[in-house]
Amino acid sequence: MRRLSWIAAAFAAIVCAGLLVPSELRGGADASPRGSSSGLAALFQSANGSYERGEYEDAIKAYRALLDAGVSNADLFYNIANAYFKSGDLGRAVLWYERSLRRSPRDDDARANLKLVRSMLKDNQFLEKKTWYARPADWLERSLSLNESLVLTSMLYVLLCLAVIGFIFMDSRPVRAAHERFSRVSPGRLLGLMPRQDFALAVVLLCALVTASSGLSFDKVMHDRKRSDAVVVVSEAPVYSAPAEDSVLQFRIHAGTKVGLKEQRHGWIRVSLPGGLSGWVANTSAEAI
Amino acid sequence: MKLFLALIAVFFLALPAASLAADVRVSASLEPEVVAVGDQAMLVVTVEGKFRKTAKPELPALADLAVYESGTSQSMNFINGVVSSSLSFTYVIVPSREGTYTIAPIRFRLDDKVYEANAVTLQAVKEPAAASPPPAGERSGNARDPSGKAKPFLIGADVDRDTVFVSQQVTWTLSFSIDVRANLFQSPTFTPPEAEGFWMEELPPLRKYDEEIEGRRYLVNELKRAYFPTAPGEYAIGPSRITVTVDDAGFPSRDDFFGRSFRSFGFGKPVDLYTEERKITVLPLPAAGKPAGFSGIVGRNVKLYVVSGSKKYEYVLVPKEEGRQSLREIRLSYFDPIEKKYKQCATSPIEIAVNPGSGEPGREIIFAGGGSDIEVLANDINHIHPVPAAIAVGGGGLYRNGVYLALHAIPALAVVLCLGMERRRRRWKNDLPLMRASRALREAEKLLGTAGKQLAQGRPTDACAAVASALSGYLADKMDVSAAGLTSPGIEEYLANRKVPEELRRETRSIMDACDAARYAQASVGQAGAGDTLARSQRLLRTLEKEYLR
Repeated sequence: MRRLSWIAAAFAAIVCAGLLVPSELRGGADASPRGSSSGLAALFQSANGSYERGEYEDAIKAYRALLDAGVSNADLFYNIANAYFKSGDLGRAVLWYERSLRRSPRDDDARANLKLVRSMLKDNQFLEKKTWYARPADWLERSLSLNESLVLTSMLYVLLCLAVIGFIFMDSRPVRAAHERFSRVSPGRLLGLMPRQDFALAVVLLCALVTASSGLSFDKVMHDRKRSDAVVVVSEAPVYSAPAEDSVLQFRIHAGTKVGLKEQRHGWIRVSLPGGLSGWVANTSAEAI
Repeated sequence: MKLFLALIAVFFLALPAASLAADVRVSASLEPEVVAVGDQAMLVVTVEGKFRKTAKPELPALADLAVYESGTSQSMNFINGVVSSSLSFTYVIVPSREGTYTIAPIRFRLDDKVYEANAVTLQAVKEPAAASPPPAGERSGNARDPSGKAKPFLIGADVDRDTVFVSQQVTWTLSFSIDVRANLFQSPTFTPPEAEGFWMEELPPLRKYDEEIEGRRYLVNELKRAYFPTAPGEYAIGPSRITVTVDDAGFPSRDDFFGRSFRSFGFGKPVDLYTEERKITVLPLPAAGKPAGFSGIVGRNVKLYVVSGSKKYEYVLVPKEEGRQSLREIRLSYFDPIEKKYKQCATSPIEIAVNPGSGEPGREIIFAGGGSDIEVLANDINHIHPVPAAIAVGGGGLYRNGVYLALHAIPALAVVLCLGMERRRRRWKNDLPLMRASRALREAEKLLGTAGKQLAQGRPTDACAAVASALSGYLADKMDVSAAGLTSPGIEEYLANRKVPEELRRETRSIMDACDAARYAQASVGQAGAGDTLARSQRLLRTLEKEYLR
């Protein structure tokens, strides 16, 4: 049994390490930095200074230099969006607020600014109404960033593995003692289930949670990989029925309008709007979020 | 505990039902509250809140009042994120006698709860001569055909007025009487009149009553329609048609079975009955005095002449500024055809107190004192963020990081490892010799470790004793015998059976002899000798385990 305790302790240590390492990685542990941290901070500060002096074009250049250096940070995206807004480019302002919110979905400043910018756009902005059963997932998707969603999935996965191990060693004294101590709030125990049934219930529940969380993470990963949303960045973009200027001009969309990105072909992209509208615009008209 | 759980279960099961019945309000309204005998009043029972749509109001017994269901309507409002719904049940009330009728509170039963609406009062006054004229045509005096035989069907149509203004209502009434003894093969079919220059509204319900005409009893069906002329001029409401399929053997036949011809058992003969055309003179609305915002409504007191009793306009107001806002009076112009002049009615101004919004749904802001509201002069975006505490290159999606992905293998491997351990534990539990043999080397190495420590402490004799215990214990575990019962011949035989070479068997004997010599002749063993014995025994045990005794 002592050996089992050692294994459990080692496992817990590995798990903790596993959970800590991603957060370090998320912070940007880069083995081959293209710029030192202090140098990047100085450049960021310089860009902020340009912004505060009202030199928005210079600020954009400096922020873009950070992007070129490989910095990918929600605060940087937010500041770029602000600089674009101040320089009158509402389309790119929306684009970078959207990018910032992808990284940091609960950033109140970015949300408020995006709302304000949207109120100034030429096109009415629409969203697909979610069905009642899709709303919780939609809320989670809007509240968690990609990395938070992945970490949540990893934590649930680790908990599931722990529950499975507990189920395997249910007959051993340490596991029984641990169950006795920590299961006071367990739903299975409240329902009067035996410890083994309680562990089985926990495994089933965690399986369901891991499945749901994996689905959410997968969806976010797919969005991140495919970049399936875009924002119009030119003042007006004609939308044609085919990827050619001599095809039928169907409608026009304007700067800041968020569109779905369906397909790319020879300098054209196929976009879609809520309500079933879709067509082709020049690929310089919109940028993927 | 089980009782507690049962109570929790009952609570959770009862919760949806309780919430379903919560916040239900029932109200009743009557429009108009004063009607002539035979005219209609609309009783609307409105139920607000959450409830099953199958539930219906229970109307009390209403003497001298005919009640007809006239459908339901549901409305839902989404205001400030709050959803409210109401269901209105409409009934048409027709008084048959003069008097004041109080309709007792209408009940609405939902599960075990009964909700009551307010009582409403209807006053039925004497029927005005012009209000509902009896349809002309074939009524009394015309109930017989030229040969003097009684007619089985009487039909007539009339209008309440033949000169009206544009948009003024003309009520057209059709009366169709059937002798109660008439033998109909099919239900009568009605073809409505053509009325060019009018738009029309049905005036439900179809009234049915018995009437005696020239000594015969008829079932009278009375149908009303409202026609509204759209332009001045001479118009007509054309003839309407009712087709009845009758017994072609003649009338009456139901009480004269033997007088009926055999053909009367056939399919019957369709007969078309027509009403007369009614001419209507439509006068133009006077140009003089027409208000600027006149909407074309013609009537007296407006609501008396509106087909549905009232017209309700609902608007959602979204305040854009905090503070006290005033909604100006809303005016409605209409033409009174009796007084022949334009009139105007208006609502009272509505005062609305607008609290400052939180900007986020789900948060409520309440007034906490102070003077006037803060005036928002302009809106701007929030300022830029400062330099982040940790700024570094990278920071993309974790799923691109190989280390992160590889770490996920650890918990899975741990599960597999634990499964293997548990399987082995179960096997050992049922096979004690196997368990002893499997753990023999580990136990022996523990003792050898102890021997090493003792040697380091300068206790060679104890170290040799520990080596002897390790070796004998290892062999006893492998042979599944007690260590105390081990004999040199037994060991020899066992090792020979396991095909251990003579050299190793000799080494085993040598180590055991050296240990025994050290234990029983303490002076002869030194630190170096004990160390040598320990090293030799470690090599021997590993070789035996690896090559011959696994």
